[in-house]
Amino acid sequence: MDSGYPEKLTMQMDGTPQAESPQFWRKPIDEGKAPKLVGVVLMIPERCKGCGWCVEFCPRKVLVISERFNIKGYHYPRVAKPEECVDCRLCERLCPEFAIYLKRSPAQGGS
Amino acid sequence: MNPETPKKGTDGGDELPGSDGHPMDRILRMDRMPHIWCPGCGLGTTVSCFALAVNECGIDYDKLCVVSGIGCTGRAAGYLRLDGYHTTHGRAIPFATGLHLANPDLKVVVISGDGDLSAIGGNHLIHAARRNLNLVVICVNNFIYGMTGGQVAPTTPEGMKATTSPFGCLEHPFNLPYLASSSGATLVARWTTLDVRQMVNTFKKAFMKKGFSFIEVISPCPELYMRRNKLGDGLAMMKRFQSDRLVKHGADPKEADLGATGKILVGEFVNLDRSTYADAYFRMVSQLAEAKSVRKEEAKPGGKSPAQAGAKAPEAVGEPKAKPRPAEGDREGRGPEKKAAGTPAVATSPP
Amino acid sequence: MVSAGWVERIKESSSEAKVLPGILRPGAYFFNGDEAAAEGAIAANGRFFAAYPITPATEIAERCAARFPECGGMFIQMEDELAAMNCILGAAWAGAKALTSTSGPGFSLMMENLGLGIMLETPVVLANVQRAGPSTGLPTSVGQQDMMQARWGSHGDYEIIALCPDSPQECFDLMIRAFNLSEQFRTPVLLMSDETIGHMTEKVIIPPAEEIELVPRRYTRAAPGDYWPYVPDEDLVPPMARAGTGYRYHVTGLTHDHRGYPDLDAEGQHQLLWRLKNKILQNQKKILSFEMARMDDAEVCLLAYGCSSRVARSVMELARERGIRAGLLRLITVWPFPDDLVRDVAGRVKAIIVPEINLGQIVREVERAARGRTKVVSVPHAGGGLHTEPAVLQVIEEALR
Ligand SMILES: Cc1ncc(C[n+]2csc(CCOP(=O)(O)OP(=O)(O)O)c2C)c(N)n1
Ligand code: SF4
Ligand code: SF4
Ligand code: SF4
Repeated sequence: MDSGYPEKLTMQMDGTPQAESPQFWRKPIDEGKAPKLVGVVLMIPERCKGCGWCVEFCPRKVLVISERFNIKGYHYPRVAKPEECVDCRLCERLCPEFAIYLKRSPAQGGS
Repeated sequence: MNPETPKKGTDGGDELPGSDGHPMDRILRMDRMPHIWCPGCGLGTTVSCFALAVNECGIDYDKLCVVSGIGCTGRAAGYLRLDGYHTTHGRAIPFATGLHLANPDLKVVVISGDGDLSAIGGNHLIHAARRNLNLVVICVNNFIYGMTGGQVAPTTPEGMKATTSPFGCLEHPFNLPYLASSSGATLVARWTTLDVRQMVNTFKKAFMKKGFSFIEVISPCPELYMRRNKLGDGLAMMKRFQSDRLVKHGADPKEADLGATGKILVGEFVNLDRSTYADAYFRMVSQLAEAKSVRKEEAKPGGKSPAQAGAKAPEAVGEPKAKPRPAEGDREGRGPEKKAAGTPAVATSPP
Repeated sequence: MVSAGWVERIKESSSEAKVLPGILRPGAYFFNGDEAAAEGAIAANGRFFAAYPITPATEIAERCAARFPECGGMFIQMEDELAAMNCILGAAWAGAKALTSTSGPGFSLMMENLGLGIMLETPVVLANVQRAGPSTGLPTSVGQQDMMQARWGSHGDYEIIALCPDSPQECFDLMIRAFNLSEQFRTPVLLMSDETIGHMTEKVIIPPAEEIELVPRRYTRAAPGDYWPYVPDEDLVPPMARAGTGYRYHVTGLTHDHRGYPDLDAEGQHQLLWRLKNKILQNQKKILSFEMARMDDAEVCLLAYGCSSRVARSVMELARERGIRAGLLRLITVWPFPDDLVRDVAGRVKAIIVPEINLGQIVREVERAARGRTKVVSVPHAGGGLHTEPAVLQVIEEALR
């Protein structure tokens, strides 16, 4: 599947080498926790244009702006509190760049 | 080769396929990304909600067409992996009308800007609503002409600056939901780009609706509208939406006037049912066919007495003369004065 | 409530090479040119009409409004000509054979999206029953003043096909031909009639359906995954895909590549524009049609089209009576202009006389094509009536002097 761009990217603007894109943050879900809805936030940093909407409007403040730049020179968000995510998918809908999305935790019966 | 034609049909909302990419990629033309829209512009969000609504409501991708006019918003049709038509400025609705009436099985959605739909295309908008064509019109209102660099629009609030209103807009802006509903739209809603959940729901409703749906999406244009008016960035507008929007379903669209500041009335204002143009047309067609068969019955010897066969379809009457057609050569030398001299033909004008 | 089989029938209108039910019984009829054009559209399987009323073209729309519903067609009167033109483009993409009709003022409004039709390569037919202008001009009287607008009226550079009927019979015949050419070359085709022809009633022979040849739409045979909307065949015309059939293509009025995606540089523009032009010019022989009368021994050629050719024909006879060997070249295809034909004729005669109901439009093309090989004389007329025979005869006599 062709994600359209940025296969050429191998280096971050700040010089940090970056793994093959798209790159995902995927934190294991703590299954022992309360049976609340938990989502796994996935991020395609190269698509982000740093508008900050996902960070601002996440009801659980799961995301923060990262220190890193992507290839376009924008600070993209980072998942700071993965365990807080309630899979509300506001970030997924809000993101104008199709850069962030959710995957339901397997513990919730997701795929 | 067409890179990956996604599989047909629908995929339920919550169950996402494996981690093979963003769930919307299936319905977006990723070979055209990144899109042209500026950082902090709400157009991507609108398309994202559209894509989600399509995914969630189970509509057949193949039967969904998107038509856009010209403008930043007009580019939306080009980013969706559906039958998409990027037409001319203001003309998306009549083009969509043709698609819809020639194939009423399609769901035709127009996504275009406020200038495109309410200035140059304003006439088409009100008439499509009046006829109650079975179309969905998504109008992204960013208070300005984006694509051409920030000129004043019919939606620019009074006093706000644009390149062609450098001292402030002198005109009163359109209240688009009121315009659409008073023209006859059967579903009228307004949301901001912050109301993503509601927007998705209304889109879904509109896809299933039979009749003319008009959905205004208030969206930030940080580069042109906001910068010139010193309103901050896209996030600032989103924060204004958060504090100023007032959800009021069923509100009278008359009250939905928009100013540079103050409340932004949002919600589903109108949802009613009324016969569509296509319905009325097909009713007429079947009545004509019935009347015709009645007439045929009567024409038979011993047929019924003349009934009140209302609609008369024009028919060829009289004796057809199966003469061979004159060849090109025969017509040589024929002058106007000789026209149709003594032809025993019969008039067949429609009654 | 879509009536049963509706979508299927609309699809057949473009995909079938045979005439669908709805055509009149074969025979002789009395029709004016507008009515004949409407019947021609039905005979050509035209099944979608988007209208806006205007004299002297209204009768086409009126007849279609009455006839289309019983033929399995769709008729809608739009809010203006901008809408009418766009509406038929949309209908064509959804599989219909679509047309509209208008006259001068409406023709101006249709120009914008005639360009879109050319750019998207959409087969549709636009009938212009010309009246005299500019502006509202003479609403009920004849003109042939839109001939150059037909050629150049939409912005940008393009080629166009335009046919000029000289009788109600030809309104019927050429309407069918216009549809065939539009399908064959995937482009809008103009039927440039005029008020005289549109409002003149004559015998029109409707042939049996099986004698009418129709060109079906060039639908792609590629599988949805393998299809791009602007990959041309050998004759430079790309096959089409109907909306809603799973191809999920994108088309745009922006300069685009074979995928239909915007390609906004000089190279992309060069590729596209030359293909659009050449698909017409390379196939000009298939498009060209004309009539020659008594040209074998002619010393002077009357070159005319549409209603003026009827006057030219009787002038030719008059001239012959007076011993002037006059001939007639009647252009049926006016655009693309038959350069070679006119150049050839110019080499054989002492003068070409061009009577037309404008102040000299097609005569410029004749001059250009003749390249000085003969004298080219314009017989202008400001509109509102036809040339008188003595006036044209006098021009011939002067030209030969
Ligand atoms: C007939 C015509 N006139 C003018 C233009 C130039 N033009 C292109 S986009 C546009 C305005 C678009 O504004 P809007 O519809 O509000 O969309 P936005 O770009 O703000 O999304 C204009 C005037 C054009 N393309 N065609
Ligand atoms: S899904 Fe909801 S809670 Fe989780 S990160 Fe996104 S916005 Fe925050
Ligand atoms: S909403 Fe999207 S574009 Fe904006 S900061 Fe978040 S990930 Fe980046
Ligand atoms: S100019 Fe305005 S509307 Fe256009 S993409 Fe940029 S922010 Fe969006």
